[in-house]
Amino acid sequence: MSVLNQAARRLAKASIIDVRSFATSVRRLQAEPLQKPVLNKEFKIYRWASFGSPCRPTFENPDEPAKKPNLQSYTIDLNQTGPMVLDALIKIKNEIDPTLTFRRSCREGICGSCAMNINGQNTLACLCRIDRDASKDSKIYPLPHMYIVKDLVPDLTQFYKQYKSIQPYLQNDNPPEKGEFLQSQEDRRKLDGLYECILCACCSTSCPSYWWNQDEYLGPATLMQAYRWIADSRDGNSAKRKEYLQNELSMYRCHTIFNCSRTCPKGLNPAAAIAKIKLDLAAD
Amino acid sequence: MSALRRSGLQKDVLNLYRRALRMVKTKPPSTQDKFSLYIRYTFRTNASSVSPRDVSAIEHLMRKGKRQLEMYEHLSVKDCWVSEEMRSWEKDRA
Amino acid sequence: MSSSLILRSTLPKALIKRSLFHSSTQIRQATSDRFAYVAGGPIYRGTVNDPTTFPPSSKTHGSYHWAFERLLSAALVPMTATAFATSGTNYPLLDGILGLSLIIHSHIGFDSSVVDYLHPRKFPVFGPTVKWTLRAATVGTMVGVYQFNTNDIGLTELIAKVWTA
Repeated sequence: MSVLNQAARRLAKASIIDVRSFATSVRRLQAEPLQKPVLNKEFKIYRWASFGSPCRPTFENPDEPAKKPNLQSYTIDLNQTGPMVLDALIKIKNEIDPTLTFRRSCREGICGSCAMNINGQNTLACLCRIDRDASKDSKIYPLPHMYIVKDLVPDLTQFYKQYKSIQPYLQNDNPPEKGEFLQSQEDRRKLDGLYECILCACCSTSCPSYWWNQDEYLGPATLMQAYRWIADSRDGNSAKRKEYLQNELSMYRCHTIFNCSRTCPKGLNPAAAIAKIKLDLAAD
Repeated sequence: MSALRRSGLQKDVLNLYRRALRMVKTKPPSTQDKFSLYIRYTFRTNASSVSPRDVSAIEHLMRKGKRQLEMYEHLSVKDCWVSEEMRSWEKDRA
Repeated sequence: MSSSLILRSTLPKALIKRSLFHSSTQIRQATSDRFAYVAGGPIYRGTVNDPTTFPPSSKTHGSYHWAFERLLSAALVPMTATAFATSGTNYPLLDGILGLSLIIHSHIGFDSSVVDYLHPRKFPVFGPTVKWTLRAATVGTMVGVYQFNTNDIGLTELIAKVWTA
């Protein structure tokens, strides 16, 4: 009897749920499309259109390197946009101005392409929420103190050349006889907070020392990667790696300003890594 | 060499131009005309459209040009594309 | 970068010629002949795939300099504290060490900003000039402080007097 009762109750419940869900879906079908209030916000974006290859002149964006950079303003409805600045940029590019140029790829903070200066802070556009305060405009610039290729695209050649100079790969003349390099858990833990770096260049371009001495000073991102290989227990070349940094320019232009750690969109701490290299070198 | 001393930037641009023209010689004879037209068109049109005082624009073009040239100098690059504009530009000059 | 802009531009040559940096432009133009590396300028050394190079390594400029600077700064804290606690007249040696450390400390600080902003690779004449001016000033200050400490009341006493005055 009780079993029957339970079954009946369950059936009734199910039917109620069914009815409800049916009712809501009907209501949803009948209702007007959801009207969110319009929330217009102004975005002021750095534009410098000097690109446009001579063999393929772009449609509305001719090759004009002689034109000075300017801030162009776009107004979009935040309620029709995703939550992040990158969403707004993509919306602007899709719907208002297809010539707006920026790098983006993963839209989830793991590729480091969309690094730019948003409201005075270097960050990844895909990890930066749009400030919902529509009374204030939002200013978007490319990474500071870099040569600009176009609009929000900086020329990172020097940055990558510097990254290459620290030889960011495992070097060991005595590989284990068989199998892989093994590492204790403590040794592995030393790499936490270093290997996560995605080389977005936010930290390096926020560093005043890097602004003034970009050609010689390696910058926080590269130095943190240098430490990542110095700290790696499997790497056999750390003496050489340290020796490279023994001069007044490559690393010692770091004056512990901490802009790097403050701006890092991944929450890493390049300044601490540099401090550890300095201690390592002093202990040598 | 003219009596006027050239500035460092002018020399850089001329050096780049020279290097680009030298690059043309390394290409297959059938496509050399195209490369040469492409290079002359690019340098001449930019030279007339950018003011000689606009140093940052010239430096930008130098940077861009150097990277392009590095790519074109690669041996696997055997051909390049020239537009109608370039053809008509050449005709106008002749 | 801006300096390279000025130096490389076609225009302000006459201006530069008349300016102090005459010989520095000479050097800059000599280097720009060989297409076209200017420190901090727009053209990189080598192709895009070449790594940047390191300056020759030297521990004197690297870790020794850093360690000395940090130890000195750390030592200044107790030194200043003792100078407050004791009287300089009773311990002239302490007074002398404090004066010397302060001068070296500030010399390192100024020297660091000269390296930051006026490095010889960007300012081949002005940079070294400022560096040697700084060195001369430091030596001059050392002599002055020595004189003051031996012939007059000494640093600590002076500060104490100014404090109460």
